[in-house]
Amino acid sequence: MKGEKWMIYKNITFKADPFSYDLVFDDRITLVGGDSGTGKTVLYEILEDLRLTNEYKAIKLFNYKSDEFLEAMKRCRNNFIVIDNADILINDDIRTFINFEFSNQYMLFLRNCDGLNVSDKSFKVLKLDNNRITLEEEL
Amino acid sequence: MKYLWTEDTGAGLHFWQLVNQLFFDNELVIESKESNQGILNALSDLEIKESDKYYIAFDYVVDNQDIRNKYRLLRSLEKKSEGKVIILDIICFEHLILAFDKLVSWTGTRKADKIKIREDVLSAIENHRINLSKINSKKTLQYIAGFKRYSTERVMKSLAGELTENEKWSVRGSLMGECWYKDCCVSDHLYNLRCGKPEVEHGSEKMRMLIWSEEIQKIIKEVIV
Repeated sequence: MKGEKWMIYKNITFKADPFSYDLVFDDRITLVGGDSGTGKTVLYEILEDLRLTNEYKAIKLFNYKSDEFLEAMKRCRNNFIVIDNADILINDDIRTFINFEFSNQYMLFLRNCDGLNVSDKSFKVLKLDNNRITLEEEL
Repeated sequence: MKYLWTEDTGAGLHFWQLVNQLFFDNELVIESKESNQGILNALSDLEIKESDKYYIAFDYVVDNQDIRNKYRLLRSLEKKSEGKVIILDIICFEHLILAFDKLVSWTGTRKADKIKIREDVLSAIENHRINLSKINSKKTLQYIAGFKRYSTERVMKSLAGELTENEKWSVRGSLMGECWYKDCCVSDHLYNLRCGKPEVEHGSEKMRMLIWSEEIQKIIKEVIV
């Protein structure tokens, strides 16, 4: 356990016609909030394909279907971890892991930041503008 | 009138009363609204007179969802107030104590591990949170990992509590510990003193040195009387 600033991906960019995604990350923990229907689950599903590419092979995805979620999470090192429905899935144990496992970067679809070492740059929402999808700071 | 509202009730409120007395010549009206929700309620119901100004000591950390939600509301009330409501840039009262450069030498605390943790934590504070990734000490990270549910505020309160346990330096009671604001020495065991013996003995002088410390000055420079 040693604190180091670590970003696996500063940007994730790809096209998923007709949309282009340009996701920029400013903190090792990013919380993607926003209402239902703003594209979080669609993004998660696209990332399932994207992680099969060489460039994005560090992506690890977890949702309610993931087997042995806790154990699998805790084995992750040097990964870009994405958790869908994180409000339901993560407990205090996982929050501690996220806080102190600095080798990973995290993108959590989550509304409640309690117990996480977030910064004011962690809070994002998906924004669609002219078929371009970005992560914008939550106001 | 100029008001300073705090959510604190005990030592934190007492601190602001002493600041008012020693730094602002009692020009402010210090009021506790007893909680952050209390501050929001009071501001929502407020009819501001032209000559009034309200300084709000609202404890803000980015890693507590309830505080974030309330802070957002507070900011919107501040915006509507046309400069009559000013939110002070504060993490919490305990952070001000923790950041005081004389804290360790005055209290005489010998908790070497906590002294080191304090240094690590203070150097990792940025924009209302502790950036854990800036801490390299394994022991400090282990200490912080020991909190059941991590939050910047919890770490601050706990550390400040630990480092002020000597003599009457505590900041956990209904008032600040007497060592902060009374003339030395107020110890009950003068022959076995657990104190660092401040270089100034006069109560007001000790408080003035605290008030003139960097973090406190950053906050109170916003207050214009």
